[in-house]
Amino acid sequence: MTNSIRILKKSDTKINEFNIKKKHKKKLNKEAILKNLNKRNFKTKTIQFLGLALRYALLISLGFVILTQLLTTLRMAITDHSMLGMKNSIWIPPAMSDQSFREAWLILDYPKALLFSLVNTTILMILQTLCSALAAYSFARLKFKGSNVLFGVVIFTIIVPSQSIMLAQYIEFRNFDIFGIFKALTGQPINMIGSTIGIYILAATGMGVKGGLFIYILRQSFRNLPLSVEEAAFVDGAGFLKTFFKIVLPSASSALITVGVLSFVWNYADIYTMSLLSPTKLHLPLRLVHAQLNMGWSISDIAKYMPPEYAVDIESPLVHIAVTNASALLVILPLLVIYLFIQRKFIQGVERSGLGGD
Amino acid sequence: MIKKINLQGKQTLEPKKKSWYAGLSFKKRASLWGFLFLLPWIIGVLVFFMGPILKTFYYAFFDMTLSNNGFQYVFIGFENFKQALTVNPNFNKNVVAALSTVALNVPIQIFISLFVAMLLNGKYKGRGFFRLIFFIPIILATGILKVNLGYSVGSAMVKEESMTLLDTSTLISIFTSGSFPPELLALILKYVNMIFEVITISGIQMLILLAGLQAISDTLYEVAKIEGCSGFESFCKITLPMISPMILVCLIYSLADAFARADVTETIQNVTFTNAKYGLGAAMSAIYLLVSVIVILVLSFIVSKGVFYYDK
Repeated sequence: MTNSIRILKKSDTKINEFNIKKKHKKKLNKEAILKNLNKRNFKTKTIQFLGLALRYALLISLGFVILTQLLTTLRMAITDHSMLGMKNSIWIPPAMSDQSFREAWLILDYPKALLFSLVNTTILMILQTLCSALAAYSFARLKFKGSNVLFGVVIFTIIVPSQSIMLAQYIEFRNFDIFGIFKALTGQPINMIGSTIGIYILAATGMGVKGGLFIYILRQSFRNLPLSVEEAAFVDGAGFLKTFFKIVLPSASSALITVGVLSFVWNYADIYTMSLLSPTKLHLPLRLVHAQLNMGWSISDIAKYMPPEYAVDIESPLVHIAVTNASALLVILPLLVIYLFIQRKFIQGVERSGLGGD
Repeated sequence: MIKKINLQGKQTLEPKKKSWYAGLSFKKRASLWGFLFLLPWIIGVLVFFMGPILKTFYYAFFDMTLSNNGFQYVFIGFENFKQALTVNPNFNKNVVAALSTVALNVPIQIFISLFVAMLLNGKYKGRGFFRLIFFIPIILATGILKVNLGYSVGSAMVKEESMTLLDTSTLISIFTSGSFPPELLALILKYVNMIFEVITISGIQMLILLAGLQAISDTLYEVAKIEGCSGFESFCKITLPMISPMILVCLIYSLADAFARADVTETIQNVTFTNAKYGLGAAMSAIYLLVSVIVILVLSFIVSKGVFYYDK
């Protein structure tokens, strides 16, 4: 018994020694590999760090370039009128006042014009988005003979500069008529210039600002939706309209938000169509353009409403520039506010809208 | 015989007649609804797009005057085209200027948009914040902030005040102090000055390209990494081909946008509505329309040859 135990122990120690040697070898190997790895890690880490630093440097500097215009405008708008033209500071004016903003507020007739512009633009946005969504769904899923050709026409509408057909559109709306009905009734076609209905019609028929692009974006996102959900709806007896409004639109909501924001921004700023088809003084950007073209007159017009402690210098071109900047900021303010509120959804929409891929 | 039997069983015939819609196959119903969904747009295209294009070419051959009874048309042949191309001092110049800005701006615009989209893509801290800033150009591109006074600003003091903060004069002094070739310097400065202008009008392009970059699946890059591709190689072999359809879309959009932004449109508007030369304006519009459409079609046809489609 004892012998056998001894032998066993001996063999055990032998085995143990062998194991220890093996372990040592392994340890050595591991250490070498780790050293190597650390070296490599250090290399890749420094490269990664440098890449990240470069990325941040570029992002910050380009972001600064983007914000420059906004900041310059803001700086000139908040500078006190007595300090205009002073060059002793770059970013923060030596004395600030809200004088330019007060004048701009009066020149633009701000509350009234803002209300009109927002309501008008919202109507345009809804009409345009709805029409684009309907057309895009037709192009994406409900194909019929010739719809591919018609999609080529959509691309064509993006290409043709809208200004070049504006004259013909203007004449169309000046003598507006549907199959001669109005001429038969009243003896004359209707003159639609001056009312906003003309623009509403353009938006509702997909011919508003950049309507083609919206159809393209929405078509891409509808095509990326899973087909099975719509099929399930059809099998369960939902009609095409119901499927479209209850299933397709909600599941493509992020793309719809993207299109809605873009439509709002572009319709709001579309001075060109507005000034031709319905030149109203209530539309904010249009009012801004008119005020800019004759700033001296605009300021002298509202000077009497200003409180007496603000001495208004009507002639100074510097004051004109300051007030112009302030009014431009007031006009762009609604867009910035809407963008700030909706930006998270908007950017999510960009990520998910399936703009990418064909 | 069959007809008679049918006549006898009126009840079986009537419901069939009532619901002609139910008799259609699903495919036919889908295409019927497809047509109905598209109907507003079709009306719009016919009445407010195709119609006006044809009419623009038609009006170009007439001398048009606006009177109380509406427009009076007098046929004058190619006189308007002759006037637009030879007599009017601005039109020719502006069309050429538009073409040259398009040729210069659009490639840079697409390059910068792709560059910025790649910067914004990926995972890093604060990307929400940077995306917030980098999509502001969509709002800035509306041109509302452009100071546009009715008179030319003469005094130097005012000029400096209205200048942007992006001042390149220090940059110039750094380079001119050394022995730097002046032609190269001029070129570089031109592009540096253009960055701001280009970046403010490429919001949509960045958006489209960023969405395109995000649609590329990570597995492709992983495979490339395992196979030992460098970053630059995987950019050339994966990113560029995968994003090429988006680049084509961006190209078409940028070209269309650049043509719509050009000063020519203002000249045309002035001639047409301010000077009330409607026929001449129509001729100019027709020429400009043809030029821009042909340029865009040719360029996008050439580029579309190099586009790679993953599924096909």
